[in-house]
Amino acid sequence: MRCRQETDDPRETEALGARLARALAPGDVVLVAGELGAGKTTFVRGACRALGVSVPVTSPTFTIGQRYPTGGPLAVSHLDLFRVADLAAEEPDLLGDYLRADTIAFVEWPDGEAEIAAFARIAARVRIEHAGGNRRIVEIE
Amino acid sequence: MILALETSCDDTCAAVVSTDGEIRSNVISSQGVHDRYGGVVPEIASRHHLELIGAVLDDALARAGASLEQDIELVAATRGPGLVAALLVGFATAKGLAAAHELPFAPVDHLHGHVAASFLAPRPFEPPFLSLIASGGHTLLARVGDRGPDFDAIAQTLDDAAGEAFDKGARLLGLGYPGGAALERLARDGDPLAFEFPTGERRAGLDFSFAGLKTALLYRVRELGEAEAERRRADLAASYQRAIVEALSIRVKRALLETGLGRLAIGGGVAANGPLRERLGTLEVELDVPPRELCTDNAAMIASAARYVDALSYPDYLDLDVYASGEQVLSAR
Amino acid sequence: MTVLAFDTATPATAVALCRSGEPPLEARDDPAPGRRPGHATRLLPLAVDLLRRAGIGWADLERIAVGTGPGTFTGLRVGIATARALARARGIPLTGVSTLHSLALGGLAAEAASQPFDAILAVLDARRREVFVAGWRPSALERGGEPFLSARALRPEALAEQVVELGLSPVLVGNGAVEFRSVLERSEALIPEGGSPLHQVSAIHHCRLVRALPGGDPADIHPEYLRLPDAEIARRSARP
Repeated sequence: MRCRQETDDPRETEALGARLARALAPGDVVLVAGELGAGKTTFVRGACRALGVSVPVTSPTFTIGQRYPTGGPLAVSHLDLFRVADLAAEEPDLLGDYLRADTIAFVEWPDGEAEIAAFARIAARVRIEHAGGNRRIVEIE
Repeated sequence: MILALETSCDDTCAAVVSTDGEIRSNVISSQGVHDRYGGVVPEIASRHHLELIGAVLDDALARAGASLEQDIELVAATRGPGLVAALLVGFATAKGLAAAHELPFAPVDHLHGHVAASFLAPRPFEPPFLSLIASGGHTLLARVGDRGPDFDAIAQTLDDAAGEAFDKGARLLGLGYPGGAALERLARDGDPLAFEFPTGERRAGLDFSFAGLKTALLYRVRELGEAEAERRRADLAASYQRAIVEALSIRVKRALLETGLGRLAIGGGVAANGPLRERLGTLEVELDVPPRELCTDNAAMIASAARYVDALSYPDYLDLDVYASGEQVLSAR
Repeated sequence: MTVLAFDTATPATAVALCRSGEPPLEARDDPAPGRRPGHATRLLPLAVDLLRRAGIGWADLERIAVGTGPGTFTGLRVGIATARALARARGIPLTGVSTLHSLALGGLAAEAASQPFDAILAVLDARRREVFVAGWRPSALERGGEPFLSARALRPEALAEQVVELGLSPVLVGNGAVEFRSVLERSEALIPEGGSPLHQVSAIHHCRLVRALPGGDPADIHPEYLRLPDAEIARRSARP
């Protein structure tokens, strides 16, 4: 799924996340870039809901990553690598717990694509930018 | 006496607490090295834990005048939630110490620890009460019916944790990490009513949300422009801090009303925030505000919680693992 | 001397109990492909199994020996934290053993190999397409002697080149040798077949090395990470 779209409010950003989610398969990773407050977690929340995640989709900053159940065999991972400045210096297991064949993963602040790609297939890159007020430009490739 | 270790984030902690809740020692080594990264880096935190844990442990025993062989009846450690690699340093150390003397071992949930800080002597706060735990990784309200280990989480954050709101706000204002303390300091010279930030007052329910507040600060900084935002940094910090404090206290008030509980205890790093302590002090409830060093991460609270956990006898705990996320606690919802 | 030795630098959890005049006892956990290492959950249960089999208790131990890597960071920390705790609690010395040295010592058993060799290189998979490697002359191994090729992280291609440059006919052992066999066999290197126990880290060889190494204060034993996260500092300061 490729697109460049303007969203008017968080609900629309979530809906776009949901649309992307329907094109994903287990083992896929989605990289989500954008500055602080751009709505990365909002986008991921929309995608998670579409994948069957019913628990709160919260910021994974503290534990680096969350794993959400979907009620089925699929799990959804949500990572925030802001604090992990250099993936090459981290234990590879840090990612291995979250990027798995039975999992669809969303990675915020995705520096170190090579390390991520060693674990899973990068299915999409999302860029979210402020466009004034609640409006955002969301670019998916 | 109980020996407890806590290494879930970036503080390396050991404590000795008597079985009736008296703190004999409470040693905390803050790593400090994470400031330059704008947050805790797991691999660096874990390396430091391993280098510090031996000395912190020795210090805790020495200050308590306790020997592992003769005085310690129970060993405890934080099992989660937290950074797995960091947790494992304290957990493996504690299991090894316990095993070598075939002592019982208590795995403790970090959040139960924050609640159990209120059970420590000299003035243990008796359940039932409402507990607000707010830190960099957690924001939740719990109905504490007894001393645990299970309690009923009735609200949590829908996006960022309260401590994260402090840290990210601090980042937007160009302050260092950890942001909470820096933002609180800057806010002292500012006007908390200078800017209006959302507190989520009109949103129903008990769950917290801080993402909108963070974005509101970002926009306000942009609107003002670099020079003006810089000039009014203290006002921005004070107003932003006030909004976090209000957001927390609004939901605490609601929860007190909904649960009919007339007693409130607070814990977690954000509970060390001066304005929050003051604000909650104005609520007409019986309030337990532990000293700051028992609000931020520490091992005395883990030892306190260990008293109410079903301790495992040797060798039943040797195969226990740690856990990263808080599903165990929140499954009570 | 009664020694409890273990190593958690590789995905395996390897434990051994060695007593003077008795055959060494070994217990290990090798996770199936795709499974997580069992360091945190298997190490102490395996150690207790060995104590039980020997009919002795923790109080009978006179020395702890632990593999200091290089290897997986989290695994190393679990092993070293456990070793320090046991040694400290029992008041006995702790010896740190290079995991590569132990692996190379085990490789000496390749002497029955079809072709002669002049060096043993211990090669562990360091992931990210690198290996941890160190090399010894066979004569230096038992004496706890220094490696002629000190421990380092390398691309397998670079290691193959070094083997050629040094004019070596070495035996290569370890999971890194198996993983990168096709690259490494471009040199004169001899690599035992994949299923050979020579590729496994065994704590029995840690015990053998303990005789040649001093025991000391548990606090003095540190992991050999080889990879330092220094790069982070530069990366972070470059970020807006």
